[in-house]
Amino acid sequence: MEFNNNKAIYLQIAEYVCEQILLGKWKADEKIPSVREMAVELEVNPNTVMRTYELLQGKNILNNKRGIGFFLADDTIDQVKQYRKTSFIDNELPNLFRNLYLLEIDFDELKSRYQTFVSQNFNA
Amino acid sequence: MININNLNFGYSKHKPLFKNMSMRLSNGHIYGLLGKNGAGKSTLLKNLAGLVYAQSGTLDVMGFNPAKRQPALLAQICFIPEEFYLPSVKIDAYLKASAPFYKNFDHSYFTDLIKEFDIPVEQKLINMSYGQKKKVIIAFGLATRAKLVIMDEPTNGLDIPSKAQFRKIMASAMTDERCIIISTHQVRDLDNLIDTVIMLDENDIALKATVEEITTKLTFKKVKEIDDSIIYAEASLSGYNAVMPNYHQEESKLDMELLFNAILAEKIKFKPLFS
Amino acid sequence: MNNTFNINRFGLLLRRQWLDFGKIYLISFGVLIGILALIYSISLTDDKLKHLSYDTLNFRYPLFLITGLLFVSIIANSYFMHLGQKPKAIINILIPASSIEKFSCGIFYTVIVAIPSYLLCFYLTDLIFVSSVRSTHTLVSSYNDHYGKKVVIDNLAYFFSTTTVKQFYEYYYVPFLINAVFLLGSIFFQSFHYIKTAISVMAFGVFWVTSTIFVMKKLTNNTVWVGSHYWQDEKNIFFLTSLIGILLTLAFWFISFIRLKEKEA
Repeated sequence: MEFNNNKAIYLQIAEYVCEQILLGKWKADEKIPSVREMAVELEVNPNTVMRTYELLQGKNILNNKRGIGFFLADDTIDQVKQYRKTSFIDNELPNLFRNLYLLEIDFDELKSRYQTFVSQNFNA
Repeated sequence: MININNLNFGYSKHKPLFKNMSMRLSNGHIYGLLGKNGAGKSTLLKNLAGLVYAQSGTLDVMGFNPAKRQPALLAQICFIPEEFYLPSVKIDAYLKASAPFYKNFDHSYFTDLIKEFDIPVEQKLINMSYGQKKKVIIAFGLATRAKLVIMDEPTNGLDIPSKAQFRKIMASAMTDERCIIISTHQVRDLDNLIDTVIMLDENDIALKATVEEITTKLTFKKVKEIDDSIIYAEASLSGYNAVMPNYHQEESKLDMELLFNAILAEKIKFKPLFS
Repeated sequence: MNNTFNINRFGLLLRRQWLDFGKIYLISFGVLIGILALIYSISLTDDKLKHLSYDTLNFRYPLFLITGLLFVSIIANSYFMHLGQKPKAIINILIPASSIEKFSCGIFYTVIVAIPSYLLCFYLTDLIFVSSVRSTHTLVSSYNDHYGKKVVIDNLAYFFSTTTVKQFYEYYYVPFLINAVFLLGSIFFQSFHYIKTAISVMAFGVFWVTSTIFVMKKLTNNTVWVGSHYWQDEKNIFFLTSLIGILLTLAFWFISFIRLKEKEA
């Protein structure tokens, strides 16, 4: 996995985990890759993965069953969405707003572009 | 795991390399030892393994004084030197003669590592390339299950695929019982593996902090313009790569090279942050 | 785990060190056999055998001493030589065995293996060549001793049965002393161990002999011996020199061991 330089590694790993969940690659109530397996796959320090898993446990995305390993929480997808939403609002939205303001893009234009994008990409 | 107390060392009396150095290292970590050429990275590692003797001060490695070179400690040390020598035999013969010294030696793990590193088993060690030999001693060292793993520039001489394999192997080799210390110039090869940075400069430890600690106190980011809050910055294509105090609890990624240069340039400004 | 001496670990170490030392040892041994065979064959050509005399086989004495000196010193010198090269020193220091085991391993290969194997090699070479000479020639001379008893000398005796060699037995400690000196030299010097050791030995020898002569001359000038006959008895002199030789050997081995323990890489 390629990491970018903008964000702490453990957060980038958290995003990767969320991605796996949202894409349905990891299923609810299934044991997920252990800290060690994950560290080996991503070529990072296991302590970093541990930090990620602890963060996601705090967000109720993962459950730690002592002595067995980490599992996805029952309502994991909702929790992931919640987590991503907060993270988006906190981290990316300000940037977007800043550009909207600087480039004088109004909400009507934004709305129509958004709808086009959704219909093109998600057939909604 | 390791306790260094007031270590004084120099290859000659008039040129001290370490002055009253003290440090504590514990298991469950991968320490990255950084420093300029001649700062004493290899020498510190050699002190830990009992290859050289301190002038004064105490060294405690797992309850032993490494200078005594006791077999019980030596069997728990995996030391990968930058320059090394292997006898002119095949891997198998080397293994038969050397592995029995280590009672926890894991033969199947060794075989796995050799396979993963893609090393020709039938070739004599002496005819192998530097990189191949290095991979053999890394595989052997890790298979001893030694608790203290010391590596001096391990990625030197490894080709690109081997570096990735090395990172995977080190990620799996790190256990709670182990203490891994890696010295390196090629920070980018290893920066995601290292969880604690130790930087040597001017006869002492200029910085010893976990990545988490560093990124809590400092933030690394690209900026357009330099202002007073910036401790150190390097010009880049789109502005500056800067280090500054982390006022807003930003979660930035540690840029080890930038940190290295920043500490060399602005040592005094960092002292109060990490004391 | 015993950190001082463990016989199992010592066994492992012998096997481990053979990887490094075995090659040097076998090559030296091969060269030795070659030299012995060569000297024997050029000294015992058909032409020389035609003019066989009581001194035809006398070449063996200097040959034995010179090749012995070289073999024992070279073997002793090469065992710890690698400690002068950092990469080799590192791997050897880090082998999980104690310093005393590592030193004993050196003694084992350079003394217990090397010296008897030299004697055996010389014995066998001599046996092969001399027995072939003896199968076709005989050369016996005789004289009458003090009591008028006839003493027969076999001039084609095997090397280790000659009366000259029996006198060598008095100097049994010499190969050990040579070993100890060259072992120390190989640990003490960082490079060019053999030459440096040889030069040191020669310089020391010259110094010792000249200073002894000088001192003895000063002391004995215009004096007459009036003491006991103790020092006029050969046996006592041999006893003293052996004692000094043995003590020096032990001292050099001890210093080598200390230097080995202190060797840094």
